[in-house]
Amino acid sequence: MDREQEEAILRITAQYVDEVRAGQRPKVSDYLARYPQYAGEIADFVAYYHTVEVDLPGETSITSPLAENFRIAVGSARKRVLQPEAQSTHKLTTLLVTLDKQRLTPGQLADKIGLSVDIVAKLEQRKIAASSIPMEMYKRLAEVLQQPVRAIEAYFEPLSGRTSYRQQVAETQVGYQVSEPPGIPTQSFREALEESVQLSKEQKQTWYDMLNHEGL
Amino acid sequence: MCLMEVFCVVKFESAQSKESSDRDSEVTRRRSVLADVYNALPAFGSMAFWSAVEESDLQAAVPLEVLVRCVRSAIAQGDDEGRNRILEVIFQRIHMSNEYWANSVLKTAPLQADERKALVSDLYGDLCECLIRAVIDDKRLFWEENFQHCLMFERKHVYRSFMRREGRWNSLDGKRSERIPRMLVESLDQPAQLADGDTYELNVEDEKAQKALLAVEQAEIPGLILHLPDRLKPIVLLIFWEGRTEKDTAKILGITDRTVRNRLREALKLLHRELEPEREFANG
Repeated sequence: MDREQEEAILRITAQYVDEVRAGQRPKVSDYLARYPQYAGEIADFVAYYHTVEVDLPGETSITSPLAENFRIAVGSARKRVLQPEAQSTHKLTTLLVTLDKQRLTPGQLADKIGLSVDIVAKLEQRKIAASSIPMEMYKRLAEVLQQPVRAIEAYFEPLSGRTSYRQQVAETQVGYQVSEPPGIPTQSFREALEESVQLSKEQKQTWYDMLNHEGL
Repeated sequence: MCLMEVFCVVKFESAQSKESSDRDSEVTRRRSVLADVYNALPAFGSMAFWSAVEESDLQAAVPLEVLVRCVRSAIAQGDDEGRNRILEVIFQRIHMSNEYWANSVLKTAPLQADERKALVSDLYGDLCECLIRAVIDDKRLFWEENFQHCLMFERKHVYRSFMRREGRWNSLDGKRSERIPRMLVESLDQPAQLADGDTYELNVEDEKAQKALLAVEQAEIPGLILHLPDRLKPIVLLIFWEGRTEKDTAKILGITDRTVRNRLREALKLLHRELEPEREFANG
């Protein structure tokens, strides 16, 4: 969904909420008939609104400071978004979480980087050896996920791997081994391409050419 | 189309057009009020400016939509400190609502107190992150027009992403006390009548389970369908919430009767699957 569509859905559903709040009991069917192209999104919002939001309190005046846990949550969120230097040393937990933040589905990610969902799933599970992944893929992932290339590389690297980004941010390697065991790569990127039943021949060829070009 | 139908359509369209024009003028008026408030603010960064922005009395406070504009203006001026200070005000003013929301969406999850507290904080943190991203993004103009509605949408997105990530998107429903709506049970009990006179039967495996499913209030239907795929929601909403017929539903959505039936069947199958725990309970 692009910005324009999102804005349109916001306007439509805002009108619905205004009517509910004014006690008018709006008919969902009127909205769905008027905007059939957004039927799914409107119905989704209406279901969510009446389940979760309808009785929630609105804005309140500033009274007391936030409780400790919420203050920490706000602080961390601010750090993640507003401090680029903090972001560059922030490791990815999973690709899917990062995808969520970009409002992308695995299928959309696959389309954007020229891969298939089955390979994206293997990448997510770190089943592909980092050393066999072409740099071009790191770059594409970095662009789509809006993350530094180094963070993407670090996501795939095993602990004992090459220029360990994790070691740069970790105090000790042991600490990381205990708290975050890495996935065990089971195949190379080339093997994953060969095995994929979803990737087209042309797409495979493009990736083979890249692998050859990078000597992988 | 007969004359009467044409008349109805014309009447409906003219009512719609009047409604749409009323709505447009309301939107224009609202925009103009917000623009006036923004323009009336004291010079950015002055004492008077901060006093207005940090006003604690809600009646006299600067609208959140205007604060969003102020954040964006601070960013344009490269004033990180000012940006953070205004963001802080925004967070404080919506904190209670957000805290209530985070607690409320996790209230039915079977959690230990510590785990609940941690998850509420995580959920709240995720929301804050999304809010900051949205507020600082000057292309998202509706935030300057209707903050509360944008906030609701953001919470919807965060709620879904969070539950999926935590693997709780469906398990929450398994624990809820809701039961299948009466209309839904009736439709499962009887073969459905198709437009062409044929009937089809839904594959209900367990009659005992059906007996265990008692009717719920209509108001609970949205919660029941919340986790269905988006393309199935309009069908269930129209048929079971608004009491529309399949034919009406097809007309409203501009799809065929057969598509409505297929989607309805799919939705009912999914709803049954979601109710497995009740079924197991009913079977002892």
